[in-house]
Amino acid sequence: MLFRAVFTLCALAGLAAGQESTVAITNPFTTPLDIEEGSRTFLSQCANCHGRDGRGGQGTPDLTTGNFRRASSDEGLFQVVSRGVSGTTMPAFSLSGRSIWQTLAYVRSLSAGRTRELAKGDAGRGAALFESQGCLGCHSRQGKGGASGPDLTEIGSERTLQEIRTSLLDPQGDVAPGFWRLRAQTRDGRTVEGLRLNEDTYSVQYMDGSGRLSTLMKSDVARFEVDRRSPMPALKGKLSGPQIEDLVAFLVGGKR
Amino acid sequence: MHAAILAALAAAQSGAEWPTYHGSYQSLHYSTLDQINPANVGRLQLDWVFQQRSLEKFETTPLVAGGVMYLTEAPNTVWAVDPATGRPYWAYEPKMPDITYPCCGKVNRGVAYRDGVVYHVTHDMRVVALDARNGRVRWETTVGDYRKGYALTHAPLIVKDKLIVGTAGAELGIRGFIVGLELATGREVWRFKTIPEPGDPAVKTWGGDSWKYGGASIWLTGSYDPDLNLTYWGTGNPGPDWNPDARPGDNLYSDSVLALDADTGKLKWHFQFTPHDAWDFDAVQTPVLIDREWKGRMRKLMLWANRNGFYYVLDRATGEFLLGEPFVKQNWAKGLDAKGRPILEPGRAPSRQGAKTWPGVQGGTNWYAPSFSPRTGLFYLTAWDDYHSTYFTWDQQYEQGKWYAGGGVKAPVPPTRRDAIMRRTPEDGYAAVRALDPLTGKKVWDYPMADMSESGLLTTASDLLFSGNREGHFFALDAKTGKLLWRRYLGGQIIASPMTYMANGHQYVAIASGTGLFVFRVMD
Repeated sequence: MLFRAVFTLCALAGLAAGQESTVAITNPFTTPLDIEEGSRTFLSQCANCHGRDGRGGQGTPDLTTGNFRRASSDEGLFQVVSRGVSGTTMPAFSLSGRSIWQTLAYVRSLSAGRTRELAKGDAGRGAALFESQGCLGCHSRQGKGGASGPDLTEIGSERTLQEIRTSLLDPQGDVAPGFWRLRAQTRDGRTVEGLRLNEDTYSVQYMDGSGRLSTLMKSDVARFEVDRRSPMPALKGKLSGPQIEDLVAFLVGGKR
Repeated sequence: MHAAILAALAAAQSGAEWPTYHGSYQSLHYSTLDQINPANVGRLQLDWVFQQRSLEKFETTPLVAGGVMYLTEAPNTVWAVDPATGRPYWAYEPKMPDITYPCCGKVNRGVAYRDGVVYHVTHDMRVVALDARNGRVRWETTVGDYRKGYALTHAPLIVKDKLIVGTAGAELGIRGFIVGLELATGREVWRFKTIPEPGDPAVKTWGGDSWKYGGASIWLTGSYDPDLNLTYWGTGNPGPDWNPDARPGDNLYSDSVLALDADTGKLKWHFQFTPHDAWDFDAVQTPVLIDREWKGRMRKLMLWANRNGFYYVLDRATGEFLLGEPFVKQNWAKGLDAKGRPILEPGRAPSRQGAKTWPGVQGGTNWYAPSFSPRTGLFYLTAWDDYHSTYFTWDQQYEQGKWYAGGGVKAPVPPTRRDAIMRRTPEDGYAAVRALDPLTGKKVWDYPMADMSESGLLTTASDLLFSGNREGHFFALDAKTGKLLWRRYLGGQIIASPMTYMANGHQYVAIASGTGLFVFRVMD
């Protein structure tokens, strides 16, 4: 039923209909008018969970990064909307095929807008700064570097230029819970320090300074604190404005 | 027929089986079994696991009736399994349309059983009676149109010669209803519309045409008082959820408890917890029925911890409001007036810029079961405390079968599915198993957890309390003190309520976690 609807739409768009399903079905409704119509559908049908800006809300994924969790092709995304995602709160939507395509065109336009944002700096000079400032001590990029800070390989699609700028200038602003520091004193007198990776009612998972993964039972702990500050040095005042822009250009430009 | 009711009630009270979704008509989620007790609970071991094939949320609470366990697998499979080994006897798998439209997961919470027949509801609005011996269909009836956003998700309730069922769908502009079907044939005997029609004075609580799309769904099984012959049902939010301006007035009977005559479906009384709701505070919680002395005289009470953050005591014969106290942090109401109506705090309703309001969209509690223990005299619930959301509103036109929410919500923690890694921060709030004095609403003890919880509760005659959480832990507490006595890590998120029963001389406790039903007993 669904595939019939999809192929009908393809025919409408002048694409070859009735071909084998190895032919990827691409979105036939991507004009500015389609995107505008899609934005209205998005607001009425999607925004209550994904947010008006599409950046996620109550546990729902950010749709503006250009990376989608459940599908990447137009056809796959169409299925996600029309059938829902099993085991999640994403329901099936009773929308016409045209309406779903238009909504997807709108959603794709959100990330297109973000990646079009041009970094002004010089990525080559930024790469040199990335080395000289010791960023790889904590951060990794394309498989190289430390593990105590976030991996920066995909940072260009995960964050806006402004967010990256802010993180460089003032890293204390927004430290993700996966990068908080754990400090604990056990009942038998040991001191435990590391990166807090996860936690539940009874235990904390952490990585110590040598990169070893361990679990600490809260029942064995005498004192326990979580430091939510970032150990990253603020680059404000250390690097000039243009140097910050170079670093940003490097980080964004390095997107695969 | 009367003998059958008494037999069913006696079975519920003897506690050997778990004959209804809530365990008994009073919906106490309390069992008189005491083989598992504080002295041996430390030796509680996993005996068997039932693995569902579906990846959907596993919200089932099984029944054990006539020596067989009946449970549902999402979206609409019914299983009959041996309660001592978990081995299936049969499975009923209805043919389903390609797509159905339950708002928030293709879930089913359980079945009903009486005299060799299992009763089940489907997302495409069918009510089905199955032969308990082999799962073959005895009768089937359709009570609504799923293509318009209606869906059935809860375990039906059997009262005398009727099967009572209500419809979900309040996020899609439905008009809610509850039907009473003849148990023997499925013939519809009565229908109560949870949103009144022109001609009924209550329709004036909906401005303009808004009554046509007002929601007020039913997605959790009700309770029953045989003496009063009243059946009690909580109703869901008015629609559009977060645009109250689109529906001026109190919006009866959304966010209410309804007391219906079980024979006729006629409304005896109602109490609306959240008139003109702006936050999606469904009153879809379990109506807990107890008889207690209230200010010097015995009264038939109803205990109700509401999603809106207030704990209520009502007189269930009349609907009179007796008590209302917040049980979690809330900032949308200054308090309740003498009749239980909220006195609103300005600026907390959804706005274009967003209004930060406590409790958040999942409420102070929700549909998972609370419990009352006649032994401890305490009322227990799963609470989400110090938890908020930012509520947005916008304009939206109704279109048949489409989402009709009129706004959106940003919440710091996922509403129903946990993250891969727990990201809750202390500012996001926390979940707790909370014991209240039922007559005052005051907290007696608390068992806080690191993450949120959508696990219901079970208490037993040995003063154990069973519950679990989003983290995947299942545990037993001392019901008197809240002290942890036993726990097991099952790994999967718990979004269901536990139950207990006897089989082969052993007391078992069962809980759905992830995609498995985990069943425990004490091992020597």
